[in-house]
Amino acid sequence: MRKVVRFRWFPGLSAAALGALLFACMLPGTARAGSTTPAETVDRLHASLLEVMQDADGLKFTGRRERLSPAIRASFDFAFISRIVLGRYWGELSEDDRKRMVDTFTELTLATYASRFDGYSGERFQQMEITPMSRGRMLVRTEMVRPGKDTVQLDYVLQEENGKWLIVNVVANGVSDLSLKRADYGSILKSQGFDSLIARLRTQIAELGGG
Amino acid sequence: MMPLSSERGVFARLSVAAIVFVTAAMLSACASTQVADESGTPDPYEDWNRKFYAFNDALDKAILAPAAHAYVEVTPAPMRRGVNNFFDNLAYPEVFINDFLQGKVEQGFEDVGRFVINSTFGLGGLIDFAGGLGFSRNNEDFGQTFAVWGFDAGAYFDLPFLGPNTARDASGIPPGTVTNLLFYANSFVTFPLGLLKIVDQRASLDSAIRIRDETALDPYVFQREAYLQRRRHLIHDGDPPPDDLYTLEPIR
Repeated sequence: MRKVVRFRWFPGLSAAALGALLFACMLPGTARAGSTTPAETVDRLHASLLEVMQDADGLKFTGRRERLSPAIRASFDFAFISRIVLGRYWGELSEDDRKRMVDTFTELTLATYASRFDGYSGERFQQMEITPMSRGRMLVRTEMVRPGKDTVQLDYVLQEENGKWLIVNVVANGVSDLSLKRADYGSILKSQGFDSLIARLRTQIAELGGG
Repeated sequence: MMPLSSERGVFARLSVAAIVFVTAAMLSACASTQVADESGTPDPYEDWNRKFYAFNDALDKAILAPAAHAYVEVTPAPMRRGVNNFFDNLAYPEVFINDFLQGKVEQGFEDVGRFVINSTFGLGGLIDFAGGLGFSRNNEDFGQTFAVWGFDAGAYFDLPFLGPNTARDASGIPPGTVTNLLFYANSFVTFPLGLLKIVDQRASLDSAIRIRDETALDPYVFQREAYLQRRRHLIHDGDPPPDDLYTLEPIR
């Protein structure tokens, strides 16, 4: 039996609750050093995304990346993600190359978020439900509501690491970022090798910053 | 509404449609021996698919993308929304027919209601009047119905002009075409409307294509994976079994 913890947001409540949540996240003392829940991890990421979106023009790309960096580094399990994305190639890499991959992938994620979330036009995030998955993982389903545009369904897969829940996959409208990257990078690894993959990711990071 | 062709013409088209439908269903059944799964992605026609992908991409860069960008440039957003609504509404019979074919009776009646309301009060579909009344826009098609009925996806195809497909989804194209009201329009209107529809569709795909071009190292593989996952998401109406879809274990 799959146990579903469901908490629906009622329209009247949601604005107030989101406000309270944002306020709570902006308080200096709220980033607790100890444990987090899956919902807290996702909320913290969303709160910092909203913050840079609303401040996007003043911050520019570099400012947005710097501002997002602590929240993103604290929310994602980049070591795990890199291992899954590289699939069987991970086993063939030296310790140095693995570190190179994790660092590059972290930079790419920062650059991608800083480049995508480059403005604010009334968007808001809301959590829909939290579902346990196999192997102790949790699925946090959320939505990004965009006035005048279609709502984006954003699902996060999290797993626990030393009392902290970290994001290991983001699924946007049913498209899993991890699976896409695994297929995409796998194709480059097969045809051109690891050094070439890193070089191309580096180029991408530079282009995201320049674009 | 647009002028419809003569009754005899409609019957002739319908019988062609019936033949195409049956052939497509058979094709789908035959194609199901080759399964395209998400991890290993048997893509038996990859060489051909890559050629067609390159063809489509060149066509897009040369003609479609510039046309769509010009269209977005010269028309105000509310007008584009109207055009988009209009084509959605013409294609909406496919949605409610497939609601019923998948046994979603309640959603089927809601979607019939949505279609009737938008065709009348929504001025032939230009305004999403029903949306304001709480009728949400659903996404159903024959490809999804075949999946619900238990047909396998079959091999992946990147078809010239049509883009990403599986054998199962391609089998849904003929019935999808004949349940689109645009098919029954007088040919004088069909052609210019068809062109506008293509430009409108390309414009709505613009951000997805931009993301592909920005982030993909191998755009062909990226598009294939994104398509297959998106389709699985739609087949499950946005609520797939989590462990089925988000498997994270290292493969092979």
